[in-house]
Amino acid sequence: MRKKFTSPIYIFLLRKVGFYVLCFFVATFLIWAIPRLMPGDPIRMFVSQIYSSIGSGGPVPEKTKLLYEYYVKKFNLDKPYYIQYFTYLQSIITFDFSTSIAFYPAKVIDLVKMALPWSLALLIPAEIVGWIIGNYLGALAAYSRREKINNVALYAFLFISQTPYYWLALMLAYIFAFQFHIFPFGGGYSWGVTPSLTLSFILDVVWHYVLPFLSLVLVIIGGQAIGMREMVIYELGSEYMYYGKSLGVKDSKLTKWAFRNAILPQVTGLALSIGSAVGGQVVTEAVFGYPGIGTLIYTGVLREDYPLIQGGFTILLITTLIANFVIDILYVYIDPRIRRAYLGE
Amino acid sequence: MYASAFLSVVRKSLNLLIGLLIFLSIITFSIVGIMTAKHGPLEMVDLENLPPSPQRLLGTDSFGRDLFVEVSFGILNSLRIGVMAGLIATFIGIVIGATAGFKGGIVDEILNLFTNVILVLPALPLLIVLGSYLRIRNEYFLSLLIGIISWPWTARAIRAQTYSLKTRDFIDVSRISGLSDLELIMLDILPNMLSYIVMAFALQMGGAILSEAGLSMIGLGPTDIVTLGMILRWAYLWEAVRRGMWWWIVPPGLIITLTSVSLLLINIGLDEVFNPRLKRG
Repeated sequence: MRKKFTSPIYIFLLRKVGFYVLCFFVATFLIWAIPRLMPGDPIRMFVSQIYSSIGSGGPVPEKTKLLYEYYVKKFNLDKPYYIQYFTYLQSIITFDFSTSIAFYPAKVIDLVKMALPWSLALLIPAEIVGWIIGNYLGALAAYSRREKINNVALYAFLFISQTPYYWLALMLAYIFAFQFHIFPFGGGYSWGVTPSLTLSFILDVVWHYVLPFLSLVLVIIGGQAIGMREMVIYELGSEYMYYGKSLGVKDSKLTKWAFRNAILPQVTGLALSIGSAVGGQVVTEAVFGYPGIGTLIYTGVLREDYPLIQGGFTILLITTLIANFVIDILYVYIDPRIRRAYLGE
Repeated sequence: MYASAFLSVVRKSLNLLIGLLIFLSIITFSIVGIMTAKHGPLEMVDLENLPPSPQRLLGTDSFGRDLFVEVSFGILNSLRIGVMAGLIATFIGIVIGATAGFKGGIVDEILNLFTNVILVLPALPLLIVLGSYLRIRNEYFLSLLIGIISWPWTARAIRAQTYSLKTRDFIDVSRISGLSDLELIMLDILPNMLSYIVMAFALQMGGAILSEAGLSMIGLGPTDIVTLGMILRWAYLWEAVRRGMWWWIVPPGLIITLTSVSLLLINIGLDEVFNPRLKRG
């Protein structure tokens, strides 16, 4: 086996890293540039907001001008655009998101650090469990010889996959938290409990975890099942299947072939579902008041805390890109054709 | 004659028929509600928190508004945002996809890279950040934002179609007769993939309605009109869940879901009708 840096696997990894770095720059550039293209002068708004909150009976022209100029300087708006952009980029890359307004005087980076484990604990299991169950159900529906079952399954998958995450969250809360009182609604653990590594606290966390988890995982199951059902049906109708059948290969073996060929594109499906799951997570967390990044962003939106919104978004962005990268690498190991090409087995 | 042509198309695909039926029922719901309304959707007309009754078909919310009227207007506004954002996304997708597929080479590589980059980004969080900077949040700005984030899927589909179409003989004939690239795309390529464009639009419209509702739920919805997402937001803020007011939560969410499902079914159905090779079972 070649171990030189020119071997295909390194080039592959390098290209992928380059691609995700590019994604990072495009996304951060978009959230820098688009607000600047929008109509309205944010500083003027801000200054007039300050005056209206003081209630000083109408702005005083000279003082308004002073304040206006102060903020223009503070946010570097008097400098050329490229300098503004590099100052912004510098703060993003060094994770220097300054101080939160909503949780003053806490630093945004500290808030994000506290919230990230909660979000990952929700997102990663939901994606994995949803992917496994979704693919299993999708394949099951496709194998079904009875057309009715197959069609009913398709409609069920379609319905659940198009359900808005937050509506599902509200419905689950309505049924399980307020009609049957099985699970609690709101927060990551009970009020007045200090987080600690005790059994009772962990049980409390799990008990609060169930509903947000379910509202994410159900939608993911629906989406993955649709994809898998399509893929298996396609494989079952392909030439090698007929050939195998004509040779008298057993049905159980044929279904195994179809499954193995259909599951590969579904790994790509997993990557594509991450972006939408991250979005769903933000709203689901907001609905449940779950102590993750989504709730932070929601608080940021409500309190117009832009450093918090930007910090939260940047972390979500990095999470999404890393997850995609991990799946790309997994794919190399799973697909025998690519594995041979890159690793030269 | 049109009716019989329509029937023969619909008969080819059960999915298309079901999709159209759901979609038309939702529109009928909206029209009936708006026509029979004796007042605006945001006017207080009755006692607060009334469950559904023959007089108030979907009950009232915590402001004493008639939810049947509110939902009817909400459907209209959500659909309008869906259509506007869907048109913008489809338009950008066609321009980028057709250019990439037709030009090929370095232009294709750059545009394709750009498409893949936008595709990876988490759309809703990106929309939330951008939406939070919007000072005036009306339906037009929101549609524009949703449209400029969600075009990549369409661009991919259109690119693949253009790619396969441009090698056909009739394109060469047109090229020999002196048509420019733009004319070739406008006159030869796009008309031949009209079914794909309509399908892509249906998907974009459904996605846009979901995006708008997601933005509204976070508190970034339009400030001047009622949409299905805004009704859900109010229901959440006024704790309809805790107070057992299912009639405030179930209808708006169910209609969002069914609208999206119906548009997806129309997409699948059109595919079955226009690409009969794909039709199975």
